[in-house]
Amino acid sequence: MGIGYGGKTLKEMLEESERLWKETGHYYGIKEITLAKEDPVKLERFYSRLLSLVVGARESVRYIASSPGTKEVGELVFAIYTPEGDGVVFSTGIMAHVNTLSRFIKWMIEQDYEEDPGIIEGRYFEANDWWVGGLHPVDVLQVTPIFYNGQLIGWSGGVIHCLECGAYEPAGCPLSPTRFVEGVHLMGDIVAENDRLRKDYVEKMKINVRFPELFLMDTKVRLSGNYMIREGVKKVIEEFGLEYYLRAIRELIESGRRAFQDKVKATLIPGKYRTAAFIPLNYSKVEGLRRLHPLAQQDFLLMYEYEINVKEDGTLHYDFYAANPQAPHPLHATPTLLRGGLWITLTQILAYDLRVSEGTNRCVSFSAIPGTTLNPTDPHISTSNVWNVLCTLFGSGVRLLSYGFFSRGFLEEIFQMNANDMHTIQLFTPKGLAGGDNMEHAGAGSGARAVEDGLDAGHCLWLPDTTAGNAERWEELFNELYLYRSFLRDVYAPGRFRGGAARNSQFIAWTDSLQAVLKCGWTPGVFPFDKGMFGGYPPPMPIGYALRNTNIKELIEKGIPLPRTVFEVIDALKNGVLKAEEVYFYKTHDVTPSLTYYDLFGIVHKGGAAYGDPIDRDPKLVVRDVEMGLVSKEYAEKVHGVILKYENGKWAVDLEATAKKRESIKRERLAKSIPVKDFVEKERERILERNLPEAVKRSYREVMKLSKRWRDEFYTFWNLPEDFEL
Amino acid sequence: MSVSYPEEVIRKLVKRELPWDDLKKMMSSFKDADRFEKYLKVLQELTGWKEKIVLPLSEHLMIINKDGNLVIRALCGYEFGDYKENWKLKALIHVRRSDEEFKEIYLLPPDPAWCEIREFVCPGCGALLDVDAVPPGYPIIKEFEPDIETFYMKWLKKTIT
Repeated sequence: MGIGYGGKTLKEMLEESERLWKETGHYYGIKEITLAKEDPVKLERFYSRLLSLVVGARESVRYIASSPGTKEVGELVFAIYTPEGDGVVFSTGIMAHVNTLSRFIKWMIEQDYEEDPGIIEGRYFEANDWWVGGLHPVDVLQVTPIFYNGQLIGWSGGVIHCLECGAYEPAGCPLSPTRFVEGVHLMGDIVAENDRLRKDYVEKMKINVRFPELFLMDTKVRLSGNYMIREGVKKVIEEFGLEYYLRAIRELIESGRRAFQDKVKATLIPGKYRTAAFIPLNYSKVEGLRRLHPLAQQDFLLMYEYEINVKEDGTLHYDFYAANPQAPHPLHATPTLLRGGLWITLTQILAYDLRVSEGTNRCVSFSAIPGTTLNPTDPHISTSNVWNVLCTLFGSGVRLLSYGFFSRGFLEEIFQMNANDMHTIQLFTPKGLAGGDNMEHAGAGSGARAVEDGLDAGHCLWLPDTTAGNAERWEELFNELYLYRSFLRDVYAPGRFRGGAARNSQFIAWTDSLQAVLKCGWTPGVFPFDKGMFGGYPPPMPIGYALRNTNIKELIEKGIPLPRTVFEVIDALKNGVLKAEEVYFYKTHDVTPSLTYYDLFGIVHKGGAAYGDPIDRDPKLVVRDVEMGLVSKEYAEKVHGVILKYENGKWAVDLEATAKKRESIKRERLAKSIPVKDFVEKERERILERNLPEAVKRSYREVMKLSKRWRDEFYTFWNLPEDFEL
Repeated sequence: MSVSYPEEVIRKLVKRELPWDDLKKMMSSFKDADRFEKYLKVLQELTGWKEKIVLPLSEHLMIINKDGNLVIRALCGYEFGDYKENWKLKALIHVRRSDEEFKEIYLLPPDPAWCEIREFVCPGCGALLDVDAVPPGYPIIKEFEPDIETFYMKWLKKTIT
C-alpha cells in the first residue's frame, strides 16, 4: 500500500497524472472547470488562503536569516505542490524555481524514495545538484511532504540563493570546469527529521562552506517556511475538506494553463521569433586567473541560435537548434534549468497577472540537441555559472516577445533586460577562508522600453526584489568599505530611449587580506550580452579594476578628494594624485591579488540595451541627461545630433542647428554604408579564406557538427560550396 | 475585465505624448481587446498612406497591403519587398569592427577580436533601423516571421484587408 491518496504509491499517482495529460491534453484530465462555476467566491477564498500561506511564509521567515542575500535582497521563494510534484501556487521571489522544485520531487518519486529512504512527516529533503533539478549549486532546494489522515496530499518547497556553497571560488557563479569543484552537492539528502536539523548535515556544512553560520541559518529559513506552509495547508483542508482541496488544486492548474494561452493570444502575434546570442569566455590570456583549472584556461565562444514559435493555440515552443557541445566550463543548462530562465522572465513580462503554476509551465515546450551546452548528457559537467546562460538567452527572449508587443500595439509592455556584473569576496581570516557573493548588482540599470528610458538603477529582473541591500551589512560581512556608487557619464546604450546609465561601485579593502572576484558581466566585458531594438544600440561593456599599495590613506588624511569612478581613477593615476604599486584592469571574470587596508577595487555595472534610432531622441530628454551629468554636450551632439547651448545658467536646445545636424548624420550614414548584398559578397570571400578569429571559427565548426540546421543555413547564407570546410 | 481607450489615447501613446500618470495606469491595467484595431487606425492616419497597414514591424517599418501583396515599407516610403524575405538584405549596412569605430559610440567598447557591430540603415532616408552585435562571419538572420494569416483569420477572426 502506498502513502499517496487512496492507498496509491506516488509512482502510481505520477503515472496516472501523466497518462491523463497525454490522453486528454488537459491537466489531470480536467475538461470541465466545475468549482469556479459552482462557487467562484469559495474558490477565490481557497486560492487566497494558499497564496497567503506561501507569501506569508516567505515574508516571515526571511528575517530569520543572517545572510543579507536572503533577508534584504529577498533571494528566496516558497511554493505548494501536488502529490505528484506539480506546482500549485508560488510566493513572490526567485521565480526561476517554478520548475526546479517540481523536477526534484519527481526525481525522488522516480527513484522510489517512498520505499527507501522513506517519505514521512517531519522529514525534509534538499538538493542543489542540476542532475536532480537544481540550478547552480548555491540555490538550495528543500521540500517536505504534507500528510493528512495518513495520506500524502502534497509538498511544500522552498529555495534560497545562499551566498556561497564551498566551491573552489567563493561565489554563487564560480568558474568550475566540472562538477568536482562546484562545492557541496545535495541530491535528495535528508537534512531534518521530526522538524529538526540532523546533526550529520550541520557538522558537514560547518566545514564545507565558507560561511557556515549564514548557510545553516538559510537552511533554518527554508525549514521554518516549509513547516509554516505544511501546517497551514492542514488547516485549509480542515476548512474546505480534503476532496475539495485535491479537486481545487488541480482545477487551478488547469485554469492557469488556459489563462496563459488566452494571454498569449491577447498580446502577441503568432509566428517565429529568432535570435542569436553569444558568450565569449576569453580565459586563455587573462593573467589574473591564477587558480583557473587547466581544462578551462582557453578561449571559448559559446553561441546559441534559437527560435520561439508562438503557436496558433497560444502555447510557446523554444527550439534551441544551435549550441556548442558540452565542455569543461560552467556554462551549461538543461531543459529544466532553461525553464528557470524562462519563468523568471515570463512571470514578470507576460504572466504577471496570471496564476503561475504547472498549468502555465505546460504551455511552454523546449527542444535542445542532446550533448550540447543546453542539454548535456555528461553528468560531470558543471552548471555553476548557468545564470550567465539564462541571462543571455532569456534576456534576448524578452526582446523577442517585445517584437510581438510592438506589432500588437502594446508599446507600454515592451521591455529589455540587463545581465549582471557582480563581485564576490574571499576573506582570509585567522579561522580560515570566508566569503561569498555581494549583491550590489541588484541595483544595476535596465534596458530601454518603447515609452521610456531604461532605469538607471534598481533593475534586476533576475533578483526580483531589486534591492542591493544595505551597504553597511555587506561591509560588516565582507570587510569591503564602500567608497562610492556613481553613475558614469556617456556610458549607456544610445537610442530614442536609452539604456540605463552605467553605475560604478568602488571599494577599499578593510582587512589583512581579501580577494575580490570581479565578474565583469555574466557575459564578459568583450561582447554585449544582447542587441537593442529598432536602431537602439547594445549596451556598453563592464570593467573591473584593482589597485594595490595605494596612497589612499595619505589622500584621506590630507583631505584630498578621492577618485569616484574608473575614469577618475585613470586620470588620477596619470596626473600623479593617486599612486599605486600595482594596477589591474579586468574585462572578464577575474580574481584580484590579495588586497589589504586602503587597496582599492571597483566594478562598473553596465545598463541594458537601447530602443530606436538615437537621433529620434526627444532633445528635451537629452537636456535632462546633460543636467544630471549622465551625458556630455559633445556626446549629445555626436550620437544624438542634439546641439546644446548654455545660457543664463541653463542648458537649452538649438532646435534649428539640431535639425541640421540630424540631417547631416543621416547623410553621413548613407555615405558610409554599403548595400547588404555587397557586404555579403565581401564577407563570403573572407569566409572562403577562413579569415576569422580562431575561437570564432572553432565555435562555428563545433556547432555545425551538432546542428545540421545551423550548418545548412550558414552554407546557404554565405553560398558556400558543399565541400568547403571552415 | 473589459478595458478600452479612446483613439486619442492610443494616438498619444504612439506619438509618445501620453502623460506618465496615464501611461502608468495603462501599464497596470488589463489589456484592451481593441488595441490593435485602434493602433492601425492611428498609424494609418499618421502615415497618410492609401495602402492599408497590415502589421507594424518596427518604429520605421510596416507591412502593408499593396495591390494584394504584403510588402514592407519604411515610413519614408522606401519599400523592402515581400514581408516573407529578410528586409535586412535589402538595407544598407555599416559595420564597426575596430576599437576606433567602437569608441565613436562607446567609452567602454566591446573587443573587436570577438565582436562587430552591424548598423542597418534605410536606403530611403538614412534612419538607423536595427543594430546587431555578432562575431565576425555570422550570418544575418531573420528575427521575426509573423504568421499573419493565423493572426488575422484565427485570432482576430478577420480577413486581411
